Amino acid sequence: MCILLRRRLFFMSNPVRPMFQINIINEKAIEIVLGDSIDLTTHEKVMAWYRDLLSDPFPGFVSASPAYASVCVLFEPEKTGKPHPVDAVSEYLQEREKKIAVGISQAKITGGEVEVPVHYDGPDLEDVAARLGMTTAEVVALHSKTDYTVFMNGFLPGFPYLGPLPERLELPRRNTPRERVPAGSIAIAGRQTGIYPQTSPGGWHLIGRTDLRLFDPFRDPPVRLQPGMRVRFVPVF
Amino acid sequence: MKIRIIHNNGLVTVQDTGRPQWRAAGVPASGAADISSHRIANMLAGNSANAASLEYSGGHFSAVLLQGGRLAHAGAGGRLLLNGVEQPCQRTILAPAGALLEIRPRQDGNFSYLATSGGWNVPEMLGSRSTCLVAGFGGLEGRSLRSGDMLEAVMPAEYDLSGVWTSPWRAGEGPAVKNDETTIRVLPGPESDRWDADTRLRFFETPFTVGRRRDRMGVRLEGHFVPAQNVAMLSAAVLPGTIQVPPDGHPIVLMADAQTTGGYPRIAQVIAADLPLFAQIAPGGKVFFQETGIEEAEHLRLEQEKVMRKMQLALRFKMQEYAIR
Repeated sequence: MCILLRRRLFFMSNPVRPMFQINIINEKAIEIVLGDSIDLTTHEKVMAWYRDLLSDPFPGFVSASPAYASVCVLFEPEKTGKPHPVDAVSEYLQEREKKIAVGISQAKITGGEVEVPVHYDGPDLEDVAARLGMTTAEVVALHSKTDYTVFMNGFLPGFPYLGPLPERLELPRRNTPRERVPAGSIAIAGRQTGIYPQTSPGGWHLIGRTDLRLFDPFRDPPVRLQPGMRVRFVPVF
Repeated sequence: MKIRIIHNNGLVTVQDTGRPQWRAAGVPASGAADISSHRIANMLAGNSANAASLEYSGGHFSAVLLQGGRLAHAGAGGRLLLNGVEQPCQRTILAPAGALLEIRPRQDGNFSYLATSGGWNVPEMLGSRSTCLVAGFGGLEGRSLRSGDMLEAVMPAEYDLSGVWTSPWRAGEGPAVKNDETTIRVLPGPESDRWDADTRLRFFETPFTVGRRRDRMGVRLEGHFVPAQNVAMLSAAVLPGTIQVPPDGHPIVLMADAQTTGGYPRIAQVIAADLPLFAQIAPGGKVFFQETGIEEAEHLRLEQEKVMRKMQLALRFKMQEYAIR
């Protein structure tokens, strides 16, 4: 009876065999691959792994960092207490997958919501509107009426990869990246939108700017928009 | 030990073992580019590996010792001079107050490390004293050292000295860079199967040249190679030592200040044991990549760790013998 119930639960939570692949990156890093596209279902799996590893770390655990469809796990080989740390951590993650696969359906995104005030006056706004066959007001309306999820931080400290961007706003990156994108710039590329926390080079289309400080190393946590959070852009004039 | 910087026209930053625990925030790990030389400099100064050292990477650097104390200089690419006299690398040095300290470029590598008792005292930021140049925090105000800056040792210790004293012992030979041809061992990267077998073989059979475009974030390699058959991929984790191939076909080897995610196919990953050596190959130097497996990589890392621990033990005995605290 017990076995039957467990099998059934397993079956119910796995209508299709979910993607789960372990990539050994090096002696101290393993990547868990959970999908192959930018979508919220994959993101929920990524977040379930991320939260689970943070709340219940294994010996030697250093960090877990989410990406669109994967989580990278870093560990200190010496502190795992195992003679073959990479094998030991791989096996541990495989074992853990059984537990997490069952828990994913409950792991709804609960990362909080943030409103980001935006001056929609970016240097590419008119060009973006022209290329999409829209007015600038339509671009602003569409960009600011959408709810976004923070998929991950990357590229720069505190840079949030937000999505999905409405299909109607989809454009490839600029042919020539800018050498200097000012801090606070709101940008779009592909099905993503993001905010540059520091002045840096960048290849996305700049449609606005915010005064919100995204990264402050003196604060804990240092990052304003963290993976799993929901974001809404609010136009200010 | 306390110093005031007189002049610096290169990149000299405070570095320790970095902050890999903040990757999820998009914060680069940072830390010493050649972690082995950083560690040896620290051992010679009586410290553990995570004490902060100064990473020198070219240019003219000079400082005056406002307070004397213990120093050590290890790595490659820099010559240490005290009062105008060149000091040997990989040794413990005691220097008196008032001495003039200079580091000048040498052609044998890229990074040298200046350590002192307890490490250089800068505030810990996000769990590390390393300088994060891209976001301008950590180290000394998140930037390279400049004229007028003052730095102090965590454990100041004055010695009764009339001049500079250099230890008769030496901690290793320094980085084994052969600029005509250095072999670097790598593991296959997650996207390595996006090149067909023949092309992948070429990656290991033809030498690459370390390009002039290099910094603490990454090194561009010049050579005849091609992008992957399918370059489209979702941004995923990259680490120091990851070798990416962008659409122009010139591989990039990521270094200590690398961003945390990348969108170019990852063909290979430099093994931990060889990454410090790779960091020291000067622009124009040739590199051959050799494929290896994770078991071998783990074994080599462990062997290297054993050598380091032996060295640390031997140095501890020497310092006791010479009563250097």
